[in-house]
Amino acid sequence: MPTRSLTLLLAAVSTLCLSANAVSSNPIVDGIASIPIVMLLPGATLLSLVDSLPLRGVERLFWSVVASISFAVLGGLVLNAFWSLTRATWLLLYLSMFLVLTPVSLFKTSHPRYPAEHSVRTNTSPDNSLQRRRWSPLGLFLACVALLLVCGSLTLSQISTSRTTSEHFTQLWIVPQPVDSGNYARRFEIGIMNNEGVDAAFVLRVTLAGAPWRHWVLHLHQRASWQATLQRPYLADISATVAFAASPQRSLSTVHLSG
Amino acid sequence: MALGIALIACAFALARDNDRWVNLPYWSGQLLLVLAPGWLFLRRRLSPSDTLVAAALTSASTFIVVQCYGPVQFRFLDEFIHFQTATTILTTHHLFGLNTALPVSEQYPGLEIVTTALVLLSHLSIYAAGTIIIGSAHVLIAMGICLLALEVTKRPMVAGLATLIYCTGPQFAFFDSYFLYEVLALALLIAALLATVRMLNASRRSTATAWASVTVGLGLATVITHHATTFALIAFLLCLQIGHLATPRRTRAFSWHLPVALAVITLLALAWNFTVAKGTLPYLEGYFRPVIRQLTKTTSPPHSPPTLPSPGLVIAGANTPTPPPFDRYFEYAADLALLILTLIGVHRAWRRRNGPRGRLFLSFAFGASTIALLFLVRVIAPDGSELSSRLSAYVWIPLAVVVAVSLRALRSSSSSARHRATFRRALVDFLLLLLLGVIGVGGVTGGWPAYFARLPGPFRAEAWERSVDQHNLLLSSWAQFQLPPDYGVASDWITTSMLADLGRQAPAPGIGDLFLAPRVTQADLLAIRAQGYTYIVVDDRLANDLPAVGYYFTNDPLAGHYTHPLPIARLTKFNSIPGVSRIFDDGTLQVYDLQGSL
Repeated sequence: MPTRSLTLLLAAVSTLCLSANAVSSNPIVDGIASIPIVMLLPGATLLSLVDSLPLRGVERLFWSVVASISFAVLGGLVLNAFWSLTRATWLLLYLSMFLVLTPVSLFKTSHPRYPAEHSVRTNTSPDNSLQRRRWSPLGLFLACVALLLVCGSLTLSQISTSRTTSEHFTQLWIVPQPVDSGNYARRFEIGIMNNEGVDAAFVLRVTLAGAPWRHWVLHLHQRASWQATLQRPYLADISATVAFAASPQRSLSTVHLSG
Repeated sequence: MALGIALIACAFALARDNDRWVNLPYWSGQLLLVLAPGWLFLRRRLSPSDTLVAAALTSASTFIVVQCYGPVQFRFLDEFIHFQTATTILTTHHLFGLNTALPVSEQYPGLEIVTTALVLLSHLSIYAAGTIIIGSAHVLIAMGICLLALEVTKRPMVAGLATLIYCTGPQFAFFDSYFLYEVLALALLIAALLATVRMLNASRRSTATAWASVTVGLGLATVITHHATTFALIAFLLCLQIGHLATPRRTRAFSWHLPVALAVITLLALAWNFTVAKGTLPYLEGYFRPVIRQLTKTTSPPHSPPTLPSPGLVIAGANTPTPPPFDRYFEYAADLALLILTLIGVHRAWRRRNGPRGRLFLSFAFGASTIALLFLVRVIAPDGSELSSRLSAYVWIPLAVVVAVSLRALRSSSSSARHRATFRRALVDFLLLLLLGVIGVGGVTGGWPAYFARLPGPFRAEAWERSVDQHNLLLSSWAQFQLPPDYGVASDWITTSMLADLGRQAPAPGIGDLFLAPRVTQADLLAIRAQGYTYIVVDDRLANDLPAVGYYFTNDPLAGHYTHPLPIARLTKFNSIPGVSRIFDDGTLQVYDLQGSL
């Protein structure tokens, strides 16, 4: 059976998270506030209504997360049936849930149906007292070392992944417009995307039936793209080649549109 | 455990650099991840709450290992299927939109509902939100197993060991850390099972009713989230019902709760399958039909060798990739150990069936004994390894509890003699730790990812996680925005899957002949156009690497017969076909448009 103070705390945290999420336009604030809204608070509020389930400590946390996830699944189904799944409808759903359930929960904690001893866990051995544990200096030190090791492992993985497995290449495309008109297209879109890992200058050459037709020198940031739509002479063969501006003879990619 | 994570992260970093000193830190780290909690559960008298925290940390450590493997993006093909469904929900603001890769997945949107809710409220990416949700589900699974074992046996040591055994399961570490609907459903299933066991053990009618309501609520969430997990939940509840019926009538309490919960969940599952998820049964039939056909077959048809397109490409003999001997021996040793421990547990459950909670444990023993069926499926069914691995997520739930009880029984029986008790107990604990180490290593070698993708590194052809890289990720992204949706794309297995998952193109099975043939005729093109395929995507790297899984294409006619990579001429032949346009090139991947070829 949750205490009244726990229920009040839940209500306060729910209000804080919901209002922060509704008012803020800062992604960090939204991120911090919305994780408990989706993953913890609905379940904790639901559990606070059920006074016949003796749940405490870590186990209560387990059931809160499970109930929150289930609530989100079922709530999403309801939203889909009657409205839509948008930020506003989700906020409204959570808000209405907290508005309805928190007073009920507060009322129930004021008028408990079961005696206090009922809330003691019945299914565990006698050493299941949730005593407040004192951390020894050595234990605290080891916990810090463990945390550092885990953070270091994740950082090492991030660095080694970005350093060793990132491929460097340039995408080049030529797409008939409209795309399903195939070789009969009167227009086409040509584009390139820089994935070389650095900002770079490119030379893009387009030939019409084997003769030079268009020519661009493009400076693109990493992951930046450039595209243009051109008219195409009817059934003309179009080819395009991209190369670094520094070494224009070394082609990186070639595409063509058959006539 | 933190040291184990650090060692594995170092091994991953070395593997990305192609360093050959990879195995020592990798296997030391994996052993530490098993032995450290094993020592804790065997040697320390933990309280239930401490056991629960240790269980959560054990599963969190495996999840962190997966994050070290692929820290910046999804890596597993099936994750992209759910990514597509989530993207559709965020775009249309409604459920049940078309999924071009796996239509059945859109009919079970539980995971995507929660993910998109978090994305919409937090402005996180789908990857970040999915990682938070799956990470939570991964930890919840282990905590649920711990609580379940605690509820069945009332012994923290057994609960801790059961969690550890489950965490060494073939698919827990990686597969159950991926952004898959099964993972979330598994957490819900275990919670529903826990609620059911609590309901059966409840001493008050109101408590039993409350737990029954929880079971039904979680059952409904499971029904919406994953098909196979729903059927597994119904099977588990049926097992518990049979065990409960076997209980002497005088000791039964509130016996109507379980049948009602079982009936409601079954009805909900049927209603969902016949109204919303109509594609479920045909989809699952595709998995089980070959198994049933193999089981019921009396004589095998004469084996016809594949048609060989040209000399030099393949040899007539089979060349199916097989794991190295180290992997196989540890896998078999772990399987044998688990089988023996299960038998001990089943025997113990039968002997003590009339004791307190005896019938409950007997139900678990019955569930655990299906491990024999799992081995059978793996040995005789075509592609049985994958199917048994998928099913192990469910079978391992009762199995973990039963095996943990057996381990504790072994420990207790050997330490009953008074003389030199301390030494004997230490020795027995050492041997049990050794056994846990074998089971743990066997879980890694026989589990996911396969041996060729166990360590991260450069691209490998058709090697699951090792085949996902920037080339095919960015091509899929390009296809999503530049090509019309749901057009047929013919390519190798991995590229086709990624284009279907992320590029929203229709996957093309059975196009191996097109790539294997030395030249393409107009008749070939006519045939593939008639099948609805408009684009051919070629990955030049297929000419450098044998397929890790044994095949390049879905329904590859030469599966298991490749001894050399595809000749480059087979891949570049599309350049010279009149009317075929090469509309995309990134130096490695090319897209050919067939619309002008006929």
